[in-house]
Amino acid sequence: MAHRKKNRNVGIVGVGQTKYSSHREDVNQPEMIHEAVSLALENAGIGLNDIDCIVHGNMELFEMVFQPDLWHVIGTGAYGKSQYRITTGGTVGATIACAADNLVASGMYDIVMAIGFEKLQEGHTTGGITNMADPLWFRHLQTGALTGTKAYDMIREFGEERANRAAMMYRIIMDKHAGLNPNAHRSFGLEFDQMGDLIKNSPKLVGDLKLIDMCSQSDGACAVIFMSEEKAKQLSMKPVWIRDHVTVHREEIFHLFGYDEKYPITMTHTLAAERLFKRNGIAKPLEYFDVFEMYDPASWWAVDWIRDFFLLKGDEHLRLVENKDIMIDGKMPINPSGGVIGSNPIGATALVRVAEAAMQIRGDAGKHQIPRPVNHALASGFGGTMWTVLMMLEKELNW
Amino acid sequence: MAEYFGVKVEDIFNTMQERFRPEGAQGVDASFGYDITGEGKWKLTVRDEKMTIEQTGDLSGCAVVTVTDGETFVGVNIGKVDGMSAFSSGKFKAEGDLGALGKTAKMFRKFVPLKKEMSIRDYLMDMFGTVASRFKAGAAEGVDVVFAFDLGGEYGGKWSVIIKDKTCRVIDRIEGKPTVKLEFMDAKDYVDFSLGKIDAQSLLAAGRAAVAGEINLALKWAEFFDKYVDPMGSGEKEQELLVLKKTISVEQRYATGPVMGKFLNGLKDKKIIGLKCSGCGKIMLPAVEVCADCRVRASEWVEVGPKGQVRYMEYVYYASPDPLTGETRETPYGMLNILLDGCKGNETFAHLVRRDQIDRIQNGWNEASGTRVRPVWSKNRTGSIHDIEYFEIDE
Amino acid sequence: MKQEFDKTDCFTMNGKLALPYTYFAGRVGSTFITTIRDQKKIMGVRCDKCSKVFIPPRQTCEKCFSDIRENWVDLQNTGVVTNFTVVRYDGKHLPRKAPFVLALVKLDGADTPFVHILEGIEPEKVEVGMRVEAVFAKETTNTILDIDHFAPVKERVQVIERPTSPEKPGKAALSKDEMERLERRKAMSNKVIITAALSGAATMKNQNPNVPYTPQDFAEEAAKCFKAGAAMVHVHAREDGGMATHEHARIKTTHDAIKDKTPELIVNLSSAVGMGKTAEQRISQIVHVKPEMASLNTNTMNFSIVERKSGKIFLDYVFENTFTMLQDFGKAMEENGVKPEIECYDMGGLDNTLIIMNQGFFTTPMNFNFVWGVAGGQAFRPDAFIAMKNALPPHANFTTCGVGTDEFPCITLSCMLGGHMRVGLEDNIRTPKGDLAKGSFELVEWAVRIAEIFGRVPATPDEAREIMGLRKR
Repeated sequence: MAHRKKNRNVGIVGVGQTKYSSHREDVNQPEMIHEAVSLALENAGIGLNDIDCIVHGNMELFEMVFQPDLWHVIGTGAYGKSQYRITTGGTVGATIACAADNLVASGMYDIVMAIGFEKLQEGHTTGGITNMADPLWFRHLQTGALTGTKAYDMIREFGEERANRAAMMYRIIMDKHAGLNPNAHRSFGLEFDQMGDLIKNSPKLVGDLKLIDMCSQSDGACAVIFMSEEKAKQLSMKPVWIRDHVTVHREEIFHLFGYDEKYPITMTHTLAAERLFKRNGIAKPLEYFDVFEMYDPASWWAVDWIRDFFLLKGDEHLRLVENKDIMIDGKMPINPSGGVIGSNPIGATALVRVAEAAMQIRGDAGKHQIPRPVNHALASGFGGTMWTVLMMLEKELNW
Repeated sequence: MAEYFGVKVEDIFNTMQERFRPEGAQGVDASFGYDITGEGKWKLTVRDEKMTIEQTGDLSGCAVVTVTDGETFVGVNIGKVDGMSAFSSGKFKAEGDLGALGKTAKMFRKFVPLKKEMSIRDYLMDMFGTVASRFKAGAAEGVDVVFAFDLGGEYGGKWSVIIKDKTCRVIDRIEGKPTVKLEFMDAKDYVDFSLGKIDAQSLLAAGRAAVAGEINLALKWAEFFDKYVDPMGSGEKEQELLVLKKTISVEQRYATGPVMGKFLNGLKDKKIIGLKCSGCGKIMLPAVEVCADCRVRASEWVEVGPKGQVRYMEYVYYASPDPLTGETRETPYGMLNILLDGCKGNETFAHLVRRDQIDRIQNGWNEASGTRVRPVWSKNRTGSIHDIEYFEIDE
Repeated sequence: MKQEFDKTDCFTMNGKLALPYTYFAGRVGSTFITTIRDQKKIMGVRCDKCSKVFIPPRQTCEKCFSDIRENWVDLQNTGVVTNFTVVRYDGKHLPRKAPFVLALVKLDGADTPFVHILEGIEPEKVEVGMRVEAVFAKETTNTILDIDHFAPVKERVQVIERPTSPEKPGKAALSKDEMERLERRKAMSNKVIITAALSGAATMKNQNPNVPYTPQDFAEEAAKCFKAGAAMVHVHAREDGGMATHEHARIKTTHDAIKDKTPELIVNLSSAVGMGKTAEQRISQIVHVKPEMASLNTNTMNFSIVERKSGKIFLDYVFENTFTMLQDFGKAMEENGVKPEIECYDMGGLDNTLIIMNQGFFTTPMNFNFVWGVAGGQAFRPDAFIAMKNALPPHANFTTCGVGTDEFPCITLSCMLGGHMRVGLEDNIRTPKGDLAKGSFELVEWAVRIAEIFGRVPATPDEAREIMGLRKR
């Protein structure tokens, strides 16, 4: 697929996140957004007047507000500015990051702020997702974002014991990471020795997908400020550079993973990763990247997707989890923020991946900062019936 | 019974009747059990939009039994503990029909803990009881005064606060001629005044308070004493945060288009027809016009099934709302991906399984066949997904 | 590809999209709605930076992005229709059966209009500019429909508006000799100076919620008074909680807020400030702020709170104004270019002034205010008024104010006798009809009517400066 080099370099200069939590009864939507926007401006050390354009993103149907970007102006600060609204399902946070990057790279704007938000407690997440399906057919059958297919696949491939333990290991690692992140919504203080009990006792949602496996439903907002290289030089800022991003879509289908080895199904994650790494000359992604902020909606998917994203074979991905290589101080830290399992304000979620990856490169992630230099970061977004966005971030402009 | 967050477990149950919303209990006919560790067991029965609650050892016949400890139960009910988190971490368990448990949320208004209030008398005792400890001796150099308080009303009384030789003492009467005398017609006004809820000038102007003696001294009270701190917290009520619950329902009208229309019309005739891609040969079910992989329009209609084998069943414990009503569906149910006879690979067809057969379904994989199933056609077929009621095991 | 399709199998199917939602109003929204629900009061928030009062209230100003969530402002339940539309179709999402009117209502005190239902009038008769008032719902829904609708104001309140003078203050006029000035003043003899005493030190919001406390409140109230016809405002600055203050900063902020919003107005500060303040506290703030005018009290007297009927004393307070203070305060004011407004609570105070004026530091013309009805001073009696007028030194001006029901009788007499008038919530919280005044401005409106009866015209602030001999702006 054709890939054109960027017109000019773009970097991230500011990140603002609310605390993610189950209920924000004390603020309405624009008020919650305002918290993240103010923090991002403060973090970048610029004012609202410096922002040329705002890209606003959230899920459709989740809060059921028509044209929320209109109401939200009092929180986004878009008064009198260019503003775009984007909604691409779970990937929306990543898509607005890509859009902001594109808008700056094109030369149209020097400074663009991407804002993702969600107040999941105001709507019915699963109900909203269900409505993405064909109204005449699948809407009547669909189970929202919940599916047991991945668990079933993994159990079939690696056996019940190993698959369950790997998924729960991943889950507990995320819980431990979330415990380090003050913004994270959920951290139960899970310990590895609870693995057996959790596998046995956590309530089941669909198939072997258990409640504990699934991401949280959070309220929160995230804002990230993108700036051109020229502007950053003018203002003596050192941005985290966006090297490249890729998006792969797929049609609406619900047999996600295939039932017959003779008929393989193309995974958008693999396709996206292959494309991105190839055009950037990265032969060994597992060695190249210092951190991966993955959109992990459930522990089963997460474990499996490590294989997809890093183009691994066999049970390499399981071993990464089992050896705790994905822990914050491990070989390939994944989601030191606690990931989506820890906090999931959906419209913001994929943008939080980008924001957290940028924070890791800047070295100011605080308690969940990876304890060694971070130069190359990867962030993913996921949505719909298997759409993928991948974004690569770099510390230095030397590629 | 122990209190958690200032609330007893039985408070939650005892207030159920008054919190009950008949409109939220429409169509519910079930019993719900609550097994609160160390506190007891309760059984809630809902029928005909009425409810009864009883404390009982027998929770048989309940659609779902909630098992948790007192702290979690109270915490979830008053919003101090996140329900989903408690559920996820296993502190809050539901045995039985999870969907049924969800219904109870709609049946009750939120439990609002009664803030235990201090009476006016309690406040007065506390205020004068803490005067000495709030005294700032350093500010009372050479001061020799008596503040007298004459508080009227039901809970009123008389007090004197005596400052002399940089010490302070309080007596519950007025003796001789005090330096300054503060008179409040109603002791409640004095309490409100001390809590900062009303200002002195308003009281004076309204004739609800009077000052006699050295008025300037009365104004100096704050120099001698630390401000009284309300033991009930900030003295301000927790703000009422409004929450609006609403089901948004929008009428829609969908056009089938020629391809889906032909597929749906096929169902009327008990026929399942798919479109076959002229590029890769994939059969698409339900029929779609263009093969997403080859990006060519498919035009060859093929009839498949109607029997087939299960490749995978989603065993659904947690239901999403029915898009037509916003109501939560009955659980558990099973959603099948069926490989109809005449299809191959991933050309599966999705539908529901007969609910009482969920536990007998086996998935297929590669060469191995899953459970054989057949459609059960509905009598009134209109060209919709509901023309097939469900699939059942083909025995 | 062929673009023609076989349409035989096309049909449509009815569907629905139904989902449960839960909306959180947040702190700001909840305060707004619960205040409407519980107090039948509509509040907005003010952006100080943009000088804009928003309704519905919001956490941030959309324009300058300031956090304004704490800046609550009480609005009137009345307002003006700035635009409207007639809804002529029925839909289940609509709050009324068609036809009904949705109007943009700009509430008194707000700068932004908001949409609501307008009832009680034929759609054909609705006009932009008509005055409407909120009708509150009997049953709460915890939504904006706790205001059930707006309806036309039954009795139209006549607001006498005066265009603000377009001219900016020019350079100081040439100083002519005394005679010429008196001639000009004579030419102005039909002009009546109306002063609005906005707050006093002791009128509290629970007596009349429209008493200003914050600088913004003062600025808004003063602007309304100016619009209604006042040339001067008399101000006792308050803390946010309503206590009278002698803090220089707060007094200056209050003074400046009034001047910023309405540069034309004369601001007259109090040198009494409030109970229990020292002489130093009372005069130093005047020297600090240097208003155009300030009150100068002439007599030590009782200034108490009593129940007139029963004679019971609630608060006995001695308001200290010794000869020394009269002298020192008077000098300090004149030296700092602050014109004293000489407050006489009885003939004795006037006599005290006549003695001290012999020191010669008071500039002419001297300006007196006869105060009636203070518990400790004298009650209003026409003959006493005339006696005081007759005792004034040459070329002196006089105005008057009265506490409570003395207010309107005393200003009427003053107007009749060629004097000036002071009204306002400091002295009196009710209109002559007995309703709580919507603000000092409403009392000014009444004073304007009295002036009209006697064929006198409210003086502009510049005309008032000319009459009272204030330093030129």
